[in-house]
Order: sequence, then C-alpha cells, then structure tokens
Amino acid sequence: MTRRDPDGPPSSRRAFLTGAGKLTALGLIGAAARSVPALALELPFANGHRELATNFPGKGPMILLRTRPPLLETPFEVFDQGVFTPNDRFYVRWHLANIPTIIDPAEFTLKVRGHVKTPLSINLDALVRDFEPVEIAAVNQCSGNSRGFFEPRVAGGEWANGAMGNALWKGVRLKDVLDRAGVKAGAREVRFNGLDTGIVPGTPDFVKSLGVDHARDGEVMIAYAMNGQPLPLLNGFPLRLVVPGWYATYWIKMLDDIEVLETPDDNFWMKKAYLIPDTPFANISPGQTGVASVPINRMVPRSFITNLKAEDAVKSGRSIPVRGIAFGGDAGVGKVLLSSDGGAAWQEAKLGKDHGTYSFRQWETSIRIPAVGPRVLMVKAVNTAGIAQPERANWNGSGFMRNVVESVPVRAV
Amino acid sequence: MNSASFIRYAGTAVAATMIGVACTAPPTSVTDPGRRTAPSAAPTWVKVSVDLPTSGVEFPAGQDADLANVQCLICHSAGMVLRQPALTKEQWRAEVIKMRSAFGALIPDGQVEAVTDYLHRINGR
Ligand code: HEC
Repeated sequence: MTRRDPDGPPSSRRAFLTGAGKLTALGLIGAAARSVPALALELPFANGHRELATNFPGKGPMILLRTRPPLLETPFEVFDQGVFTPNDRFYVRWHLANIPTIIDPAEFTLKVRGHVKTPLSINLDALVRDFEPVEIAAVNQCSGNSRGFFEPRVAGGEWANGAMGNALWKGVRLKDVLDRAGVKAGAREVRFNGLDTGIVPGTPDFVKSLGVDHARDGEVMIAYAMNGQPLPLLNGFPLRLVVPGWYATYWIKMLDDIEVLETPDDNFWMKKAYLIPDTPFANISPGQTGVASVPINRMVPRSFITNLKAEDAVKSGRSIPVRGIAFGGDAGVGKVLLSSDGGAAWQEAKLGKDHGTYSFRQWETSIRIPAVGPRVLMVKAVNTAGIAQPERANWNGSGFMRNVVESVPVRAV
Repeated sequence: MNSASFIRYAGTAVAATMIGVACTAPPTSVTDPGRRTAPSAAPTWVKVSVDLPTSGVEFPAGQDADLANVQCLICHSAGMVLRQPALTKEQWRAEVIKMRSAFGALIPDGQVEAVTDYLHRINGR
C-alpha cells in the first residue's frame, strides 16, 4: 500500500514522526502539538501506521483506527498514569455508523418490555431517583483487543493493546430494574439495544443478550456515570450496560431498550458474530476445524508493563523499578509475576490498592540486570481462581481474547 | 513499599497534560474493594450535542478503485479496509461476500471479482 494516512482526520497540516511506534513520539507531543493538528505513530505490526486524532468530541489524543463509525484506541502510556482510565482517553468502539449526535436527557427513556408483567418506560430522572445507586470499578475490554498481534494475522479491527480501559461505573442494578418490571416465569434471556443503527436496512441492528440469571445476578448494572462524570457520548451517553468480567461487546452503549425473551436470542450478533471456539482461552491452531463455538463471554487474566517499552535502554547493575497493571478477567488478581530473563526465573510483584474484583490492579517491583546486553522482560498474572496467562499466544480466526504473557525486550547498558 | 508509592506514579503523566487536553482526574473515592452502594449525588443531565469527524479518505488510485469508492464507503470509512493486514484473494473475496450476506451491502454479483481483485492488488498476500 502506498497511502500513508488512510482515514486520517481532515487536517491541513500533519507531522509524521518516524519511529514513533515505540510511542516515544508521545514524549515530544508537548513540543509539537501546539503547531500541528495531528501526529502519527507506528504500532508494532504490519500496516500499523496510525494517526493520533484530537478531533473527536470528549476525547484527547487517541489512536485513530477508523473515523466512521469511530474506532479509537487508548495510547498505551495512559495506562501508566493511574489505575483508572480517564474518560477523555478511554477507547471507543462502535459497529454501526448511524450514531445519534444530539441527545436530550429530558426526552430519553429506557424501555423494559417483552416477557414481563409490567412493561416500563423510565426517564433518566426516575432511573436515578427510584433505584438504589451502586458503584463498581470494572475493566471494559474489547473482545478483539490486541488483534493486530495475532500471528497469523486475521481481519477485523487492528488494535494494539489499547482497546481496554478501567473506570469507576455508577448506576443502578439491572436486577432492580428487571424486578420492577417483573420478569415472568419461563424467561430465558434478556436482550439489550442502544440508539445506534446501521446505514442500510439490511444491516442487523447491534443487539446483545445475556442469560436471565446473569442479567439478574445483581452485578450487571445500568451505568449513568463513569469516573464521576456523565459518560462521553462516544462511550455511550447517557446509559451503558456494565457487565463486570465480561467482554465489552455486551456493554451496550446508549442503552434504551431491554427486552426479556422467552426463547434464546438468535440475532446475528449473538449467533453469527462474536463466537469463539469453546476451548481454554479460545485457543485453536490456524486451520483447525470441527471445534464447537459459543458466544464470547468471560474475560481472561492479563497484565502489562507500563513504565518500560520495547527497546528501552535500562542501566545494568542497578535497581530498576518496573510497574504496570493487571486484571484477573472474571476474577480478581491473585498475583503478578515478573521475569527479567525471558521467563527462566520469576519474581512476585507487589500489588497496589485493591479496587475490586473487576478492576485494573497496579503492581510494581524492581529488577537488577547484572550485565549489559539484550534482555526480555515478561509479566504474567494469575487470577484468584488460579488461572494464569498462557506463555504461548492463544489464537483463533476472529482475533478474540488474546492474553499471552507479555514480553518487553529491553537493552541493558 | 506501600500504597502511597502507587499513587505517586499517577503524577508521571506526560502526554495528555503536555498537549493541553484536560485530563479527568482519576477518581480517588473508592476506598472499599468491590462493589458497594454509592453515595447518591444525583447527576445533572445536560443536553449533549456533538459533531463527529468525517473522513474524506478514498481508496488508492488504480483500476477499479472507483468500485471500491462506491461500494465500500457506505457503512464505514476507508480505514476499516485500508488498515487490514495483507489478505489472500480468498480472504478478500470472503470479506466482500460477507458485506453482502451479513451486512446487507448491495454489491452486484458482477462486481464482486473486480472489487476483490482491486483489494488484493492494494493489500494482498
Ligand atoms: C452495508 C454496509 C456495509 C458495506 C456497504 C460494506 N461494509 Fe464492510 N463492514 C460492515 C460492518 C457492519 C462491519 C463490521 C463493523 C465493525 O465491527 O465495527 C464491516 C467490517 C468490514 C471489515 C472488517 C472485517 C470484518 O469482517 O468485520 C472489512 C475488511 C470490510 N468491512 C470491508 C469492506 C469492503 C471491502 C467493502 C466494499 C466491498 C465493504 N466493507 C462494504 C458493513 C458494510
């Protein structure tokens, strides 16, 4: 391909920093940003050239994957800045391009219908007033986070590791809302729809379903605030479903319709898309067939080094602080292990404050590399259910659920 | 080491602040692990009205680029296509057919091969 800036923001002047793939370019932004509207970087996989967009509402600089409908990735250094991902740097992922750009809270209603005793139409004031408020810190991660690292490569949204974020969500329990409507006996699933729709009539509306017991577990919530603020429109203003421990495909944005179903949902986005092989870590060999598939569901543990990046130089013979984030998937973080010798020896890192089962957890430790030369740092999380990240990359044809132990090659000098 | 040292590196933020974009401060209000009942400060609802950027990017010039420009920019901008890894001709054909069968794209039968060939020419393996 010859084109260097496909799908870039419509800016008149651009500055490309070559070699910015190490994300070192971001350190230069302060100097450059005042005079140029956009910067670019290279994600570390083929065709990984990306611009940094600054023209999306409610968003700071974001890695531009697709303008319409927006796919915006969080620049990785943001994850070194705190355990919660700021709203203006939180990644963005839409499927269908017909996204309302004007939302009047006074007009907005959430419908609850289907196999219920009393269908409801709840406005925002009533939702806040009539139901007990709850808060939960939870990671929202795209099913296809890190797809760009799949080898062999697969088609889809070509993200690096920034299609995830951690927020403090506030809202009401889905259970309480369903109880108000009165779920009738025989209900099987609960289907969620948001305000976004496709451009042509033939595109299936983006709707997702949860089993009725899951929907009523008291953890799934309808959030109206994210990190103490209303949700940015691009993250689902005014209401978003929060499904702790499950992939973000279920976290329906601009949620305005809840339908209780008597039969299993057979819509496209449950039955055809977002399916994974029913194997540990959804892992199969390229070309493998005959494996049963199931809708993607619970997340698996991951961990990342956030203060060092590939090819960084570190001092030999000295104590080097290494820190990062981890999450347990559908369980808490049990421990985080770090290796400074490519996985031969592992040391346990100190864990930061516990913000709850489903949150990022910060960790830190220090290493000493005795001699100069290349070294591979590796980080591995084990969740509280005892599930560890795999040391060999998991693979499937849709690019879902990557959670291999991360490796960061550095040079001791 | 104690939890204070973890808080310290919240201050090492560079990019966002240097660029002059206001960063929402991460909340520090969660003191208890796990979910809990929240203090009820009711949100103030304000009407939201935004402009979403558009993309003027077209497909790279070449034979049948016009077909891609007509058929492939209706539901998503070109970035969805141009940022894919290099695909085989079979994989590109499968994508074009998927756009019809799964998403309702109205690509005439007679254009499927031409668009497939074009996509394979600009980013094939
Ligand atoms: C009728 C609407 C529509 C048209 C027209 C359309 N697409 Fe798509 N395309 C979609 C949707 C919906 C997705 C899924 C978007 C998402 O996941 O964010 C998609 C996704 C893709 C993807 C990502 C991989 C995948 O399978 O999800 C590729 C590549 C792609 N389209 C290529 C094309 C090409 C090439 C054309 C022109 C031949 C085209 N599209 C025309 C609707 C369309």
